[in-house]
Amino acid sequence: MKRLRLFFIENAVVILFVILISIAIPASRLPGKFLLQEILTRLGRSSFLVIALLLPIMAGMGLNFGMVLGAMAGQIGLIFVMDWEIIGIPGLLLAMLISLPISIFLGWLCGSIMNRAKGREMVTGFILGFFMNGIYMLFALYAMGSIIPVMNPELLLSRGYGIRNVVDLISVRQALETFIPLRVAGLNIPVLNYLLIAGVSVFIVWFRKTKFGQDMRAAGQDRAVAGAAGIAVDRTRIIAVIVSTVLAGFGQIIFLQNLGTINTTNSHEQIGLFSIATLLIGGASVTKASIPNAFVGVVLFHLLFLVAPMAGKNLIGSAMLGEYFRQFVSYGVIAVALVLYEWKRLAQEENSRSRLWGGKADAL
Amino acid sequence: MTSRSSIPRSSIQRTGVVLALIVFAACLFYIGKGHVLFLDTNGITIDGKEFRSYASVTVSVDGKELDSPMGRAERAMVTVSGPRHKIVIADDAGAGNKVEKTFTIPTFTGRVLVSIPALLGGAPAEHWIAPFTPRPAERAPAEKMQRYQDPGRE
Amino acid sequence: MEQIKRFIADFGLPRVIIAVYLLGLFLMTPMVDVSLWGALSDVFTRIGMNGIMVLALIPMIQSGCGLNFGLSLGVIAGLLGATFSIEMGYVGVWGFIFAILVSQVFGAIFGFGYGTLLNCVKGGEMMIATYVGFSSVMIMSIAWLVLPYKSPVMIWGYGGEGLRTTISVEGFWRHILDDFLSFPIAGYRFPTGAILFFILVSFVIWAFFHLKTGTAMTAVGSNPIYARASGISVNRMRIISVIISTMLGAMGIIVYQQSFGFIQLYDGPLYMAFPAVAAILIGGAGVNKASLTNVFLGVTLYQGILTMTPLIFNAVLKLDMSDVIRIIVSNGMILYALTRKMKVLK
Repeated sequence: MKRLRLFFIENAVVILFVILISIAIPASRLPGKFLLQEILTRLGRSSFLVIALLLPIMAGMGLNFGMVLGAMAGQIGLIFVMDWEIIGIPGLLLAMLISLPISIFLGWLCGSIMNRAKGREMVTGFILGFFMNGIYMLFALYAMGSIIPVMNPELLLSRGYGIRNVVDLISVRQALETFIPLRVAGLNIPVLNYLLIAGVSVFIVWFRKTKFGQDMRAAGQDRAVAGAAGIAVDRTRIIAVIVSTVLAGFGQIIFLQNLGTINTTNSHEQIGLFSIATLLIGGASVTKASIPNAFVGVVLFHLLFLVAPMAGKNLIGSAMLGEYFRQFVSYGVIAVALVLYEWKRLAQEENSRSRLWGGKADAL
Repeated sequence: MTSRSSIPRSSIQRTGVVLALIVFAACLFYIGKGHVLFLDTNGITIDGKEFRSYASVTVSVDGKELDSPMGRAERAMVTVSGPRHKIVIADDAGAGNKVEKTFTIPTFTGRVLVSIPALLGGAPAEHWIAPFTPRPAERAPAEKMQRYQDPGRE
Repeated sequence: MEQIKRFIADFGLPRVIIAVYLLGLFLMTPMVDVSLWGALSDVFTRIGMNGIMVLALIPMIQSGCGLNFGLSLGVIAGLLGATFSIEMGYVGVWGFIFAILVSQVFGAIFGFGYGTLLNCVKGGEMMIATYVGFSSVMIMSIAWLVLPYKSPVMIWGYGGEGLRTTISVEGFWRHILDDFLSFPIAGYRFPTGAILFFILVSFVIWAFFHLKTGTAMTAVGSNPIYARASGISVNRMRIISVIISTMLGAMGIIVYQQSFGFIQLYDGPLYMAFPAVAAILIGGAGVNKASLTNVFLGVTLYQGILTMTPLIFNAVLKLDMSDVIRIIVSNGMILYALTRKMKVLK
């Protein structure tokens, strides 16, 4: 009985969303098969990005709002590949290779800046994302085609430099999904995506077990203790962010090749928000996240994504209402997770302080 | 990784990894570079030798057949990736002439014109395949037309 | 040389760069055929427009709650006030005053709830404020769709539901402050009313921080343990600071609207806090110390850059990079403030 109650408390967010969605699905009147296909596709599209968030959480740096930096690197890779007209899987791999050094540099930058703002890594990463967006725009809208040669004039704005607002990824579009075609019961299964996601999951599990992974978790538990034990805390944290940024870059490439287009100036902006909300809906917290959280999150978040507008339309007669509700949920779940985290942290602090002062309280 | 003595070894390893990645990237570029083939069925005269166009041919590139057979004076566009390709052309009319050829496209040539009559007629490779640059003459009338249309649009 | 170095250290290198950049832009006006007076008039209009929103950040910074990224909550209160006033059909000065009064009531209510929440999460206010702000904007977007507003000025004419995305305040209280006592300089309007109003509100804030509650609030921010020891309720002071900040935000957005001419609903308030935060930081404020000087200097420099950059860049390079420069400068400033060691600049 007690264990059951604990289960409900620990999985409150997941249970809440399951209830919410089980009301919204019938109200949306969308066919089950359509939803199933969409979920299978979206698992292949978004899981990689969500998994990219795991390492910094383990390193005690919270939700990596700086993952948009990786997304930008991924987009830069894709833009170059589109310019050079590299087709299919080699194109995607090349895009990932191009994004790699950029991601490593941006991840190093992000990690170093976060080390200067310990205790407020999240807000710093969040603002860093906005700041880098400015640099990215400078690069994509002004440097490309003027300083950096672009061969394919179709990529450029009519003024002669700067990347178009929408880049059509026609030559790499859904290259992963169609590489190993598999249809089961009339549903398309993106096999290669799942293999990649399985690969990154194994990598995360392995990484956690290495000496470095152990150090990282120790640094996440208590920086001071880890430092005293001879762990290079700052370096460990930087590497956690670098890996996260690189994975975010790969994830963004997988995500965009499935969609088939890049919105040059804003494809990356919402990625941080959506991935973080997804992970939290899957039952993760600021300090604890696992791979199953990522998958549960993708299923629940995207079900809500799919059914909210239709449910809103059928229940109240406004599709916009469902859309706003969905956005409210994305923002709200992050707010709630952060409040719970800080609240718990404060309670712990209070607890240890009262223990420390316990004896003296009477004397005062 | 952290001990001092391993620094030189690790820097060699790093350089090795970086070099390997660069080589890998170059390979990807080589095998993934996209080319646009323009398949042309127009009659053509090369060195005084005339290759007549065929009424209907079935063309397949790298095992993929075109959606419909090509008639006279047609031009089809196929996107392929990598340097080596196989083209199979079958003459649909009585003779049943069928030709299978492999050819390579230089990596930095984006657009290639393939003359099907020349290929079917057995001309040497350098004659039936050529880098394609859109002729300025082709563009001019279209541009003129557009300019002509512009005032009407407003 | 030593003096210059010390000056730069005191003033903060980013601020020096921004000030020099702005000065450069002003010096370039005659060369590129841009009217200096026109530009100045624009800058002053924008200062009057945004000043109070920047001012709204002071109480929370002083009480140790950090940068109020949740200013959008105040903006929402302001939007409620503005739409109520139009719904009731009040025009002119009374419409404007009614809008502010209603917004202050909502601001106080929201601020109380928001402050109570922030008291539970001491130390993590900034990120939580951001997302509380974001989610409130979305909840209000739903509210704009379903609230039973009737005024034909505000609802979609036909085929739509709920309020319009932008509502013109023309005919209600557009430019009610900007045009008050305004006079032309070289053919360009000086927005006397808005500037006077900004100065008036600043004075009230200055006076407040010299009263008992105000000084107690500063004490809470600079040394909470000392404050508690001298009998000040830390939580109460923090809630008061959040309420004042939210109420000022509400007033600020109405002043903004009267100058801008439109009320922006739905996604409109989402990022309203960021320019204000950037402005006060450019003015030299820290994450937990800010003064009126920071506000004046910051809003002048920030709005100066925003006005002058597109003017000059368009004229010289035929190229509008102002958006990119705005993004880099404002977020760069916030980033700088978050990462530097806590030292407050004069």
